[in-house]
Amino acid sequence: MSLPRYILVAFAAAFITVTLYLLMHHLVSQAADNRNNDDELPSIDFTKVKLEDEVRERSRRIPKKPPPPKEPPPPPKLNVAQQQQVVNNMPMANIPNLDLGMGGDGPFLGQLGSVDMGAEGGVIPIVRIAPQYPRKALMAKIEGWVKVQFTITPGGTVSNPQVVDSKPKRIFDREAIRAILKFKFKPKVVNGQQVEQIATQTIEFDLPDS
Amino acid sequence: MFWLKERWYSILSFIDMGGPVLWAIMVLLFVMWLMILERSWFYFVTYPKMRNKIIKEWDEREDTTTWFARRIKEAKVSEASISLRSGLGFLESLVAISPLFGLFGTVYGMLQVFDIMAIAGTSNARAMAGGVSKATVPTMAGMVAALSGVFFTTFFKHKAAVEAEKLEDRMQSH
Repeated sequence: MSLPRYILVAFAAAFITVTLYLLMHHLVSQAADNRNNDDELPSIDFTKVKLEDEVRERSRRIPKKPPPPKEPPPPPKLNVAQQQQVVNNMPMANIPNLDLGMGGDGPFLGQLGSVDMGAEGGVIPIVRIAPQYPRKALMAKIEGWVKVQFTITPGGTVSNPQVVDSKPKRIFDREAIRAILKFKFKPKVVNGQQVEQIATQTIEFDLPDS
Repeated sequence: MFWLKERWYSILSFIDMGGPVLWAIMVLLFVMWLMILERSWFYFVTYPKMRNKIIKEWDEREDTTTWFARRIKEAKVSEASISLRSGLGFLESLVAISPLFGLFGTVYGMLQVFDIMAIAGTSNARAMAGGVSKATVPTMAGMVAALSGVFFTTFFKHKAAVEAEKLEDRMQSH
């Protein structure tokens, strides 16, 4: 193996190495070139954009004021909702049809015209509040009623309610009292004066039709 | 001259892109091709002369059938085989090493990427790109080096085996 041969071979090897490196660089830079070609992005203009100096006002038409009314409007009516509902369970006067003469020889029937309606008479509720059906009773599907005695104040509100009778016992009492306290009645008027009145109401608890 | 300078700068920029491992791969590649060219020279220029000389010497021998002659033949074939196979192992190892050097460069580049990530955070992709190219370019260089060497290595191995066989066949007893 001679030295000149080695030198020759070394030159050739160096040449090949350099060529390969150039090839690799070419490969890499080609990718870079492609990338550069791709991002031809829209150029951003950094120069100052001249803004319009003129202040533009938005033209707005103010609507005309309506002419003042000739006379002031009447004060609004107080619309009080009044539920005029006749109590269903009005006691029926069980008066036998007596064929009696109006003469003086018939039996005394008391003073006509001044029939005392008793504690219950003339009790007209203005506001009726449906009682809350007790959950327990609803689940057990119990129906019933509660008879409540209470005092109607001169203002028409209810005070001092008491359960007189109920069926079944105790289940509906609480709700009945709670409901009756929210009732409003027409107060009794005696000689133009509103007076207290003791009244009795029966509150029925009926299940909705199933 | 200017052209050469330009090439040289492009190589330098490539090495800058891939990190210092590319220098090592370059040296590796140079040695590998030195070996390849030297082997090629040997196979196509030196060895035919050597072979002809051996065969001629053999043919000129009076005695080619005795035990002694056979031993001489074996010795000649062995010598030829040794010179045929010399340097092939080294060449093979060079081919095997070059992708590993590429991997080394990759690791080096990745370390740079992590450094940048530690400083600039993961959001700065532009800063990381340098490290990533440092990680990928040496891999490519190692691959190219190995690719350029693998074919010749295989070819030379095959050539060495075949030539040794042929030499033995050519040295006939007469």
